[in-house]
Amino acid sequence: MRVLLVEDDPDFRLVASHALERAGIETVASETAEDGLRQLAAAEPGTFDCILLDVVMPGASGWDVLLEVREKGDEIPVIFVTGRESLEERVRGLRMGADDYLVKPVEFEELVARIEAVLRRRRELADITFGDLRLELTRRKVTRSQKRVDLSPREYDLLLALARGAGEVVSRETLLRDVWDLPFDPGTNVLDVHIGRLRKKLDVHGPPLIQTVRGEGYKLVRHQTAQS
Amino acid sequence: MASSSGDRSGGAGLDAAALDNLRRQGGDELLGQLLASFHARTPERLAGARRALAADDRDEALRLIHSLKSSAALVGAGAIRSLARQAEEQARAGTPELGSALDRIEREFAQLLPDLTRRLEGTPR
Repeated sequence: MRVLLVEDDPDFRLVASHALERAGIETVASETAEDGLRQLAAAEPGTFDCILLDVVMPGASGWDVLLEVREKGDEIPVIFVTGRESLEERVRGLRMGADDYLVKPVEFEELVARIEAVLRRRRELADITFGDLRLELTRRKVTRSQKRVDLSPREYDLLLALARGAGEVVSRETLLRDVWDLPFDPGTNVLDVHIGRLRKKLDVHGPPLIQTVRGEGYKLVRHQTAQS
Repeated sequence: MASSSGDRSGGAGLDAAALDNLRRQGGDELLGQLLASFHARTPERLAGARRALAADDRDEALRLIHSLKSSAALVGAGAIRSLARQAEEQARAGTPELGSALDRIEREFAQLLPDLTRRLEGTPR
């Protein structure tokens, strides 16, 4: 994991870098907002997992950095870590699109935990692409080979559970627990019926996607998007 | 010996919990570096803020007062942090005069120096 720390105070940079490295997080530091934006622009997408952002710096501010990042359509997680502590400023930061807002002084163990929590939330809501299948989690939208697939809520949850397996077998027990909230296999064919319906809807747009693994469960099979 | 709660209230000592927080991240060596930096930079920031006020650059003076607040918070200099915060709040509320806030911070720093020096002598850098 790698974070970009945009912070003008050398002492805070020093101790934050130590704390993050202890937690296995690599830190790249910028002393100014302008340098932070330069580092972001020069980096390949995905280079940084998160930005830790001070507000008050010489020159441009942390507000300016967040604004520019979001205006470019970059959804990288941003956490303000700042001495600006008023309610208006905290609300402003979050409404501008920050994922969290921490007021100094911070407990560095908490800072690490906040970073992990933000990244966990993002992962849970990140779109999933598996071969020609795509799930947009915030919109609960499914496409296969770029064609929309309309699913019932239960079918969607079932496909999501399979997609999170990323090609690994997902056991019947896991699917019954995660999708139907059943702590045990009731011995009915409810799962098989829904798998059948899913196959019918998904396989209109490509080769068979869901494979039965006898005695274990189901897994998704990766197929590349058909060329149009 | 100052109690932890006594440290927290500011006065003439650094907050033991804040120092422990720093020590946990990088041991006595990191703590020593941070205390030395606070010792050196606080007078520089105060002087910079005074120069900015003299040059009618209120934004720069406020930025330096904000830096004083952040660095004081980092090493647990609670009284300096409170004074800098008050100055920021007063400035936002429209109080034109910031020089007396700098005087108060300077006096507080002078009171803190014996504890700071004692701690500096006891830490590697």
